[in-house]
Amino acid sequence: MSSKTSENERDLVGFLSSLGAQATNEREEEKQVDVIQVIGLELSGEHFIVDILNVREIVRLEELEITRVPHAHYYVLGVINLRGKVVPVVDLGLRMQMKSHQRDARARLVVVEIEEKVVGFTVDAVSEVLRLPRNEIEASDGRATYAAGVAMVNDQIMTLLELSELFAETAMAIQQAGEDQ
Amino acid sequence: MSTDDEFLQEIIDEFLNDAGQLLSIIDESSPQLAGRADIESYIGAINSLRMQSGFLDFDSFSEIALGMERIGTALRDEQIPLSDELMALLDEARLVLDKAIEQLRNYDVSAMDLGNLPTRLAQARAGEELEEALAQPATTPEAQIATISVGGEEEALDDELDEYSPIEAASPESSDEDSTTSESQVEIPALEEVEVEEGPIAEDVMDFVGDFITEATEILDKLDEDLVHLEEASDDLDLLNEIFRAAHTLKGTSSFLGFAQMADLTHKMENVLDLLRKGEMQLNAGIMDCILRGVDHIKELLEDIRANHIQRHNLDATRHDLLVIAATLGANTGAKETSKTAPQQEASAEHQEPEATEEEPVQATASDDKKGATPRAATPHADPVIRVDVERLDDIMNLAEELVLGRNRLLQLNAELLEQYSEDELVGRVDEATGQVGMLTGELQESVMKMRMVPVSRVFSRFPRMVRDLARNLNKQIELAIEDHDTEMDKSVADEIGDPLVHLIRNAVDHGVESPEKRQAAGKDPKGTVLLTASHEGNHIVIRIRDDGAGMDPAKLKAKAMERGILSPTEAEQMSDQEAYNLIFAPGFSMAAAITDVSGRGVGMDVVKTNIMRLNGTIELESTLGVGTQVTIRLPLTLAIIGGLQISAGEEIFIIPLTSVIEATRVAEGEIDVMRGRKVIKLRGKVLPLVDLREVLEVPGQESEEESAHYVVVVGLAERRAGVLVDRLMGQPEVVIKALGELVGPATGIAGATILGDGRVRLILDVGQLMDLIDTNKKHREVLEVVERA
Repeated sequence: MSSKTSENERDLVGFLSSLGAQATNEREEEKQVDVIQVIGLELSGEHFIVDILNVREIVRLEELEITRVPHAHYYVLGVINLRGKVVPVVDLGLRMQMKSHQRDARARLVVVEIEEKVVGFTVDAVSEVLRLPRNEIEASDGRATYAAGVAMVNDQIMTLLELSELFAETAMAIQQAGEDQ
Repeated sequence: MSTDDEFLQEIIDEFLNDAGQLLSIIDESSPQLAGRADIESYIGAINSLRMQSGFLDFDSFSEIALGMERIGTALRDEQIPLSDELMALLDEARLVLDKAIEQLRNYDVSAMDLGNLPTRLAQARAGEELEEALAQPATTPEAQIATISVGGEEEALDDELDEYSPIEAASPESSDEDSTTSESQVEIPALEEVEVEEGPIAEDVMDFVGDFITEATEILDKLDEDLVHLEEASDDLDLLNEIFRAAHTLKGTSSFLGFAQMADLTHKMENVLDLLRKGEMQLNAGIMDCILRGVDHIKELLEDIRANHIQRHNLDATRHDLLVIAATLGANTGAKETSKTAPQQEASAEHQEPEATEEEPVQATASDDKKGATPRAATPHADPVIRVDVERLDDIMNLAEELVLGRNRLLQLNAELLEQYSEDELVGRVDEATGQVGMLTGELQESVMKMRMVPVSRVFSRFPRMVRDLARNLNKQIELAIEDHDTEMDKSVADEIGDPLVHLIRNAVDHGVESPEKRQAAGKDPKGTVLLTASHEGNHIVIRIRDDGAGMDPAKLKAKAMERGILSPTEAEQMSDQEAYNLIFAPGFSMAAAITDVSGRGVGMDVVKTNIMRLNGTIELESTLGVGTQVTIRLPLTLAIIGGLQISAGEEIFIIPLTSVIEATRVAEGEIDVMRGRKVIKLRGKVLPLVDLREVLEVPGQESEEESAHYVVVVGLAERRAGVLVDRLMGQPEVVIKALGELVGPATGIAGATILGDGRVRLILDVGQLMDLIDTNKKHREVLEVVERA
């Protein structure tokens, strides 16, 4: 258990620091053309991206021990210990009324911070770090509230997730009110 | 300034805490003011309110309360008759108090628009033209308020009540009314004697003295500084107001605590400062010198208080000078007046202290004197008390909790290390270091918890007076015995437990102890006893209230509950005595034959239950008919770090807070019955509803056939008891509760999560919600049954 965790953490640290290095190198350029950095995610065959500024870390899902919470929202898988903090884990697929995430070696937990709250969500895989000029992101068609916009990258449609819509406490509370009715 | 504000808020909060109770005494006693006992409790309550409001600097409140109190006193002394008009006036004043309380909730102590109410109260008290006063409400409010507040009448009244001679206080009044008075016409009032109780401080205020010393020291330090500033900027109104408030606070607090000399001196200083801030006289060196001498004297008096030895000081010279200044508006702050009268005073004073102030001419070298005075007075004194913001304490508490989690993790890793590499010498040293860190963490945690501990005597101190007053009201003879064994409890617990105890003690006095006649008839001592004890038992504080009264009759309780529609006849039949006692906690239940002014409204016990539940405590009633009743309250020592009982249900592991656990016992499958749709077991004759964790928490995995034996963990919250059905008991870890947060969802039945030494997250059960869940499930099943039948 302990050795696995440290390995996992090393893996993460490496990942995040490489992100950091990239960010420093390219910061100058970004300022000029207003570029955002995003992380590409896969879920049920669809592609999503999240703003890297929201992402705290990415963890291998199969290494996590999730504690189920009774009477929680149906899309909440439970809570985990993330270095001394109790962090809720949301099944993003269920949250977006899609299929649940795959449970294999590629599955990841993406830990994000929104409105000072830390929450993790599951995805089938994390693909890459991309740099997108902001003007290449088009407004979403408004069908899904969780989509902040869409972008075409390498002939693929990628949906930028509106995290505050998905995980903000107010949004969850409204959702809950809907469920209760 | 901000700490002042916070301190003020704290005082206001405390005041609001007490005010509710006092106001209800006022309300209960006012309809029958005709009776002497009622008047006494009315006066007592309004007096306490007024005294306490003195701390707040909320003049509007004090003013109205004072008016009411004086009418009460006049009624008692039969100086004025009780009339409907008077009652209406008192009611009106009472409503104004409500408004004032409302305003206080916003920490607003600014003056209220009182209309001509103070004048009417004063007139009514004097018995003058009452009808007239009542007939013309608010005709000339401004003018009348002005005479009240500017004329210093309030102060005059204040004095009379504090048993000072009214003569001196009359002086500012007269000078105000006739501000053209020339020096020669002003009569310098005679100095009255201040009664001083020499020796140690009275025991009943001892609890407040520590806080007072801290507060007074802070005020005095600031006062020195402010006064020096004031001399440079004598027209700075804000500064003057602040200095006035400081003197006012000192006056209020010292008079409340019975430090007569300090109260008198600060009062006189306050008068002078009041005239200054109202611009009725100008500050000059003589006045400043006199005020500074006053401050020095206050410091001397404070030293006596610190040493717990009150002694008489000869303050007459300064007192006299202050009077003269107030009476003459500072016109003759010269050595002349002082020298003329001071010798007389000195002659009359028995013990003389070689005071610098008397030898120096007041007028002369004021600035020099001041420079000398300040350092002389500021005798460095290491104050053993430091006031810290509760928020900071909470921060440290949180850090300590995190540290406990870290330590638990470290201990676990260390154990694994020892197992795998027991040969390695380095591991041995790691083990040693780990042990040390573990021990220190434990000590740190304990120290942090101790910082938040307050003596339980602080909560208990108000009860003797309360019991005495209640007993007198009810014509009973009751002695309250207190054994607190120096018990301490967490501040947050102490803040919450006061109200429930008030209700329980009132109940013991009102319903428990019988009248002397009845007691004698029953062969008991006519004097009843209520015993209030506090002690430590393990991780709990146990508070017991025992009376040797009539005890409770289960049959009567059931009958009453049926009458009130709380209980059905079938339910009553099946009910045990213990359950019958618990009926008194039902909302709307009251045993009082008549609603007395003490209790009987059927709200008290409900409040008790709610408060104790909020503290995760339990309450238990034991009663023997004719012998007495005992109420036992168990409260957790602290709310943050708790002991837990780790249990398993199906494949999952949960933690039950030990504070709620009463016992654990093994039961076989056959012992579980189903009664009215609920799983129950019989435990020593008592029927206990069962919480099947697997069911209510929807634990996945099917029930295995061979597991025919379970454990039942008996839990309690306030008066409710239930058994939690679990598969295994797995030890008692110490846990820190962490909130799950809104994101997760309702999580009914779960109080929070904790991280154990092995790094796993475990959920802590919410015993109260679990009990609610079985009720909901039962209702749910009943609905289903009805639907099936239909």
